[in-house]
Amino acid sequence: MLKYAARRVLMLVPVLLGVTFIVFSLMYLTPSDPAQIVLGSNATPAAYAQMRADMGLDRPFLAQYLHFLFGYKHPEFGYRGLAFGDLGRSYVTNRIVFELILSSFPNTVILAIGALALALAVGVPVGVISATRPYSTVDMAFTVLALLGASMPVFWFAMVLIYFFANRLGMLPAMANPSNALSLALPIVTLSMNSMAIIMRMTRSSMLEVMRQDYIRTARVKGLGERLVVRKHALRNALIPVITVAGLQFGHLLGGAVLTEKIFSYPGIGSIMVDAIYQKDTPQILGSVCFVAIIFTLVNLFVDIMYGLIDPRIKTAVQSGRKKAPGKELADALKRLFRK
Amino acid sequence: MKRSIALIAALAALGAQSALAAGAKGPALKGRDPDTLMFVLGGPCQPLDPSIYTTLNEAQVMREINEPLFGMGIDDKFFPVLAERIPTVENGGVSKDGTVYTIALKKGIKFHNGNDFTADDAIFSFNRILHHPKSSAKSMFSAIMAVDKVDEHTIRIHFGKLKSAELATVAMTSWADRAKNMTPAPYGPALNILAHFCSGMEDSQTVEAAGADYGTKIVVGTGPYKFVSWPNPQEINVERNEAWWGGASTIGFKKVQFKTISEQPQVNNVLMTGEVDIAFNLSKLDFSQMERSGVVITSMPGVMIWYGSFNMNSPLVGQLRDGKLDLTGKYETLDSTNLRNAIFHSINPVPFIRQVDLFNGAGVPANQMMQPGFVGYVDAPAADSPIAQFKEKSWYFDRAKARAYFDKLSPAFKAKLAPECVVLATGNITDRVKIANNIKDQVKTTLGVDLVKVVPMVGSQVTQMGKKGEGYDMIVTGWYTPTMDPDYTCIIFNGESIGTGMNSALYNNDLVNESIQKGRYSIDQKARAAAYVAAQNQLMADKPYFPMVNEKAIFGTHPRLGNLEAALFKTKLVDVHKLTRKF
Repeated sequence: MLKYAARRVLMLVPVLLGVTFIVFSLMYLTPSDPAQIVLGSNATPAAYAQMRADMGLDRPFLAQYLHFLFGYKHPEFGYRGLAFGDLGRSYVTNRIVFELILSSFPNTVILAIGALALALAVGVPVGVISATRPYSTVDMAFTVLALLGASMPVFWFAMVLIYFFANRLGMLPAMANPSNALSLALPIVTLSMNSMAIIMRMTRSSMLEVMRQDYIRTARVKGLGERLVVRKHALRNALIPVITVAGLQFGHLLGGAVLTEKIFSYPGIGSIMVDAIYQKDTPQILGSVCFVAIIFTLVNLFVDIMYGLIDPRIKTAVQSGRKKAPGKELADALKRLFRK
Repeated sequence: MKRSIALIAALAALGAQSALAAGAKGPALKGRDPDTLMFVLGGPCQPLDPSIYTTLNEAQVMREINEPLFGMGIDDKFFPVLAERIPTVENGGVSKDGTVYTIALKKGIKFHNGNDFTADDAIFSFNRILHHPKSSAKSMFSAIMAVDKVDEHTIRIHFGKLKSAELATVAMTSWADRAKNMTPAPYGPALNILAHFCSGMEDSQTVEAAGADYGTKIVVGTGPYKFVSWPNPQEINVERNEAWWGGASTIGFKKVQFKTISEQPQVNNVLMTGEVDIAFNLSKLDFSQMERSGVVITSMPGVMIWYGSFNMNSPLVGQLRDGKLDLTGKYETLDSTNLRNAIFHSINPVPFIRQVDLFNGAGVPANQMMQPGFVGYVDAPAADSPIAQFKEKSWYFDRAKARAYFDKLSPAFKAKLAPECVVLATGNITDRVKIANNIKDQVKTTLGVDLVKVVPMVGSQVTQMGKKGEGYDMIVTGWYTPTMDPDYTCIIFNGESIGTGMNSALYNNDLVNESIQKGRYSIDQKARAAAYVAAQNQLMADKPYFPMVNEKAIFGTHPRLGNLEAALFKTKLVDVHKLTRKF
């Protein structure tokens, strides 16, 4: 298992390098001039040229990319580089890039954990109910709801929730604040909707698969009650792919809360990214996007390792070197989901 | 089923209850400290450092922390803030030639950290505005040639102008550079810039000691509110300065929380739910619903104009003869000038001022680039003035005239006009794109040809294009005049501004340039007005620009706020310390 984990960690290096290269290249190609952002539009051409030189923007692309990774020396615009967790200060807010990210990230984590917990709390039982009554009215109804949940635009759903629960009924605040638990209700519901639908469908599909297995038939033949069969024998096994999906959803929620945070004026990393993009604040955009990408990759790694721990077949397969990768398992599970 | 019915009934009862609660007292302040004013900002703030940063968001916060020497009331009259009195020629505060302002500072004023406010701080603040590499306001203050210390509480500001126009491209990074390149001259908008939010006074000791952390972690001023915290980019907290020289007892709210909400529908929501007290970046769609919820909507003339420019270097709509800008005055024979006139008279901003998802009535048609109330605004145009053609209900729109200009085009020129050949560039912001699409449709309807192609793009790209004058025939944009003086508006059409992106028409008319110079370098308000009137008339005759809408400043407030009439300004800024609590 350790060997497997070490291999996965090593594989992270090229992945992260690729991510940083793509993000940096995109920013480099964006038609915006950081010197103009710092100086405003009224400076003289000489001042712009000087500022570009000071910021190291007159260097070739590769040199700038290396600065970004390993640092740039300048008394005012210098930084130690992404590899050392330092991208200097934001051009617009003048705050230390990673200080701002690290102060906002816990707020996004709160939202993501809340959303995932809700998605699991609703998605798993509903998926089980659907699977135990396949093609019944209840199953159809839940399927329609799941489709709605998966396809509803976040901004629209959020505005509908605000309209009813904040404006019309006055029950919940429209503005979210990490220090006020009640104010998190609407953003958590909004954010969880998509994950809830996916988890529900995954649970249903996985349960249907397991319920057809011989050991379930054996359990029934032995005279066990249906509830016990479902809870003890079917659900435990059916949850393995669900846990994988839930882990991936968590990574997705951490990086995908942008719209929800913006609509509910919530001070998370998504809001920082959007504001930085609007203001063309290059270091803040690079820092935030790379940070989210790294977190997403690490969550994926964690899920892969956990998957190996939860499902002994994976560990055995990896040890004997004959089993397909966990990613393939997930792909198969997703295929099954859509086949159902 | 019974349970569901009971739940629906309970929710309906709650709804009815909240609707009743939103009566004269407005939405309830659920779980909020009544002593804290919640103020919505339209976007995240840059550092709270008035000498350097200038967007409306941080300006609103800094207005309460860093006070300038002078202020401008809602009646457009100046009043002293940290200065002892308004300097005039009569009281000896302004030299007879208008070039030197001697300003006595109030004594006994202290910064929030207890440091005394002195002449050295004032000089330090002006030095930062003019010479800090990141200062974005330096061009607005560029007429300041020198600032001297007379004594601990008196400064002298010398105004001037460049010795020659060529020096405009020279970066002036010190007082010595200014002395070398400038010559004394009176400056018309002197008090306007000294009352501008960028000239908020800073504590030299604190700023220097704080270094890069000044403006984000450490902020000090003399104002009615003190900086407390900035826990995340969306929230800034300030509290009442109990030692304020103006009297802490006059300040209505103990604390103020500035909250950034950039999504306009959400601004309306949080006003209607009572989660915030005041906002200026409302969505214009919901005014009636907001008023039903108890929100007070206040509307007043603003300082924002929406306009379009024709690229005078464009072969299609410009003023080129043999590839060169024609300023001979005989350009009415040019095809491109006729097409420009045809497009100009095809446009009518009146319908889109009424358009509910655009201005929804929050604007008036603009007949000139200058804003009503400014010095030199042409209020009653002479019969022969092009501005006399303006009609309140239809702007300059004249179908017959537009067609006549279009019919004048030579067959060879007409043959070159392909569908969507006139490129109308605009920032990719919903309202701008909507205005641009309106123009496209109006031109198509009037002239019968779909001439205009709307190209939305990133704002900085539009600026870059405007600098070079390439890649577009028309641009739609807006201009905000925070100084409330025409000199700032004139940047748009001043020949000096070509190459900065602000004069996107690349318009360069000697008469207009001279009028701007006259207005700028005179302290005689009548002479200034005459100069700007001449500039406006010439501008509307040449039509490099088409002023469309003077947007109103609109505020949404909770009914518990009092003294709105003294606190709300047409610049969209608010004197928060003047707001009172009615209940």
